[in-house]
Amino acid sequence: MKVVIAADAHFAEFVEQHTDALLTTAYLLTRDRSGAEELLQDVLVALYPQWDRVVRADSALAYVRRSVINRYLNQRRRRSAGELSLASVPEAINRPDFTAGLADRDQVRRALATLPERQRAAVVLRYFYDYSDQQIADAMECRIGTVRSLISRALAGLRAGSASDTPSGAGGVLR
Amino acid sequence: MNAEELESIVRDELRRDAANTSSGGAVRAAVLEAVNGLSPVDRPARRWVVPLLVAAAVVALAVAATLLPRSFGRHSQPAHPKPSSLPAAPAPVNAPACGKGQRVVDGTSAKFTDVGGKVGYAYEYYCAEPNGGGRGGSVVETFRMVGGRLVYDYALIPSGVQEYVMSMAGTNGGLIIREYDANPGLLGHPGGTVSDENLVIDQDGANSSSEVVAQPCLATDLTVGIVHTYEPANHDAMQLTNHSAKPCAVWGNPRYVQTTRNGLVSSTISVLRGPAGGLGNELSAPPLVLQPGQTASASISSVQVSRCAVLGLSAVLPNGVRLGAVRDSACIGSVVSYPLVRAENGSETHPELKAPVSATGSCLNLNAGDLLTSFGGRDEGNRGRMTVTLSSQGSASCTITGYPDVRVLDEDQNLQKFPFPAQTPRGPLGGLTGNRFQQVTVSPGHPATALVEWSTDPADGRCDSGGGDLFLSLGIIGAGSGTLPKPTCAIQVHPFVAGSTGNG
Repeated sequence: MKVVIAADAHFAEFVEQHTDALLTTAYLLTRDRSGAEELLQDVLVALYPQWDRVVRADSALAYVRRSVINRYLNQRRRRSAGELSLASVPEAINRPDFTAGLADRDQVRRALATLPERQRAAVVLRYFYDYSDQQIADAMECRIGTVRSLISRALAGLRAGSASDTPSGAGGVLR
Repeated sequence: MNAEELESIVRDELRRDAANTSSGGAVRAAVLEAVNGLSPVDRPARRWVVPLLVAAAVVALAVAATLLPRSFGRHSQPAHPKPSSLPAAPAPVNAPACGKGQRVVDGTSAKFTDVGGKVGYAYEYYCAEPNGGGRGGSVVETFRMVGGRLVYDYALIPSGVQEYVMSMAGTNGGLIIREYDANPGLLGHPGGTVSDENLVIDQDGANSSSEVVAQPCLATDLTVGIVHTYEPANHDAMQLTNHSAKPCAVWGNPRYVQTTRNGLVSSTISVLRGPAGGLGNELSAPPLVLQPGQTASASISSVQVSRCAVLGLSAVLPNGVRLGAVRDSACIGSVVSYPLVRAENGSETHPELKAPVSATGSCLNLNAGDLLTSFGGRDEGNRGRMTVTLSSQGSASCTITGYPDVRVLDEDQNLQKFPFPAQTPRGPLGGLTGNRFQQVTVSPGHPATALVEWSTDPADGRCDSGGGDLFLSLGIIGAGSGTLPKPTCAIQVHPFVAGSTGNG
C-alpha cells in the first residue's frame, strides 16, 4: 500500500531530523551514551511497524519522546535495579558531609545521578524541557498528582541527600 | 539553598549533561539499517490498519458519534454523486487537518465485501480549497452497517498522507484504490505516480499489492501547445500531449511565468473554474492519466491587463516539472491558471464539440434551384452577426450537418489571415444550444440556419483593421458575402441548426 511507502518516507525524515534531540532525552535519562543510543534505537525500531500511529499523533516528536521515557522506565523496572548501565559508577551519597546539605553544584550533580528513574524522568521533563505537570503526566502516563509527588520528592532528595533511598519506581505509587 | 537556587542548579546540570550527548549519526544509521533489514513479514502490511482492540473501542465511540446529529458541518456534501446503492458519507471519525482556506469534503466511495463475506463501505475525505484549487491528501475510512447505521470500522488511509484517491472499486474480497502520489520522488524526481492498490480485506485488516499505472509526465514526454478557443469564452488553452510510448500522469493547475523586457515576472492566479472554463462541479482537479497520444488541456486567461511588454510565457506543473516556454510573445498581464482537464479547450463545462469542419449532408447534392440560400446580417451593440439560411423550394427535402465554410477576404478578394473565423458551437449571440450536434432536415417550411458573429471590440481578440468582405460558401449550392465593419475581431462561425435564427 502506498501509505506504507509514505510512512517509510516520514520515518526516514523523522529519524534524520530528530535523532539528536531524542538522543539527548535518552542520555539525560540514562546518563550513559551507549545506553542512550541503545534505548533510542530500540524505541525507533519498535515504533517503525506502527509508524502510522506516530504520523497521526499531534506531535510525532512528543509521541516518540514519550515512548523513550516509557521504555526507559520499563527497562529499569524489569532490571529491578540489579543492573545499571551507567558510564561511571555513582559515588555513594551517604557520606556524612552530604547529609549536611547540598551546598554546592557538585553535590547536586552527584545527587542527580542517583535519582530514582521516575523521579529523574520527571525532573528532566520539568527542568530541561520545561514541561507542565500535565505534559509530564501525559508523557509518563501517570496522574498529575504523581508528577507533583515525583518532583517534590526528587527536590527533597537532592536537597537532603536522600534521593537514592527511594526504591526504583517507587515514585509511581499514585498511579 | 533556597528552592529557586536548587532548581537553577538542576537546570544548569541537566544542560551540562545534555552537552555530553553523543552524535546521533550512529543511531540514525543503525535504525535505518535495522528497519531496512526487516522482511515484509516483519514489516506488517497491516500496520496502517487500526488494531482490533483499538478499533473495538473506537467503534463504541463511533456508534455514539454516528447517532448524534451532524451539527458541526465540518465537511460538505459529496462533490461527486454517489452510486444509489451507497449510503451518504458519514462524518469522518478522524478528519484530516485542513490548512487556511480549505475545508473537509467528501470524495469518492465504494462498497466492498471482505474475504469473510462481510460488507463494508469505504469513504474518502480530503481538504479542498475550492477557490484556489489546492487540496490535501486523502483519508479513507471504512464503515460497517449496524442496525441501519454506518459504524466506523478503521482507517484504510490515515491522515497526513499526500496521496489523492482517484477512484475506488469494490472487488470480491476487498477494494482496488487508484491513487495519485503527490509526494516528491527520490533524488529530485517529481511526484505524481499513479498506482492501483489491490486490497484484500479480512477481519484483521487489509493486505495490499501495488501496481504502478503511470509515472509522472516529464517535459520530455509532452508536446506543449497553445490553442485559441472560444468555448465558453474567448481564451487560450495550453495543451499537453503525451508523445511518449507509455502512459504518464498530470494533475492540477499549471503555474505560468511571464518574462518581460525589464525582467518582471507577474503572478499566476489559480482557479478551478471561471469564464474560460475549467472544472464542472468538482471540488478539486482530478489527476489525469494520459495514454500515449492523449491530451490534457488547461485554460489560460488574464486579468488586469496593464501592459503588453511580455516577451514569453513559460509553464511549470504543480509537481515541479518545467515545461519551458509555451509561447514566445504574449500580451497577458496577470495570468489566471485553470486546471488540466480532458476537454481540449480546457473546459469541462463547455467542451468544444466536434462537427464536420465543412457542412455535409444531402443538401449539398441538390441543385441550386432546389434550395434558396439567403444571407443577411445586422449589428447588435459591439457585436455583428450574419446568418445563412437554407430553405427548401418545392417538395425537396435534404439534410445538412456542420459548419458553413467562412473566409475573410480583402478588397482584392485575397484571403485574410486575421481575423480567422473560428468554428464554435455557440457564442454570445446564439448558435447550438444543446451539447450534441444536429443533423438538420431541411424541408418546405423548415429551414436550417448557421450564425456567424464577430466583435468590434479589439479587447476580444485579434482584429482585421482594414475591413473586408465575409465570404460564405456552401459548396455548389451557393455562396454569399457581406461587408465587415472596422474593426472586425474574433469571428465565430456556428453550425447549422433548425429554424431561421441560427439559434437552436
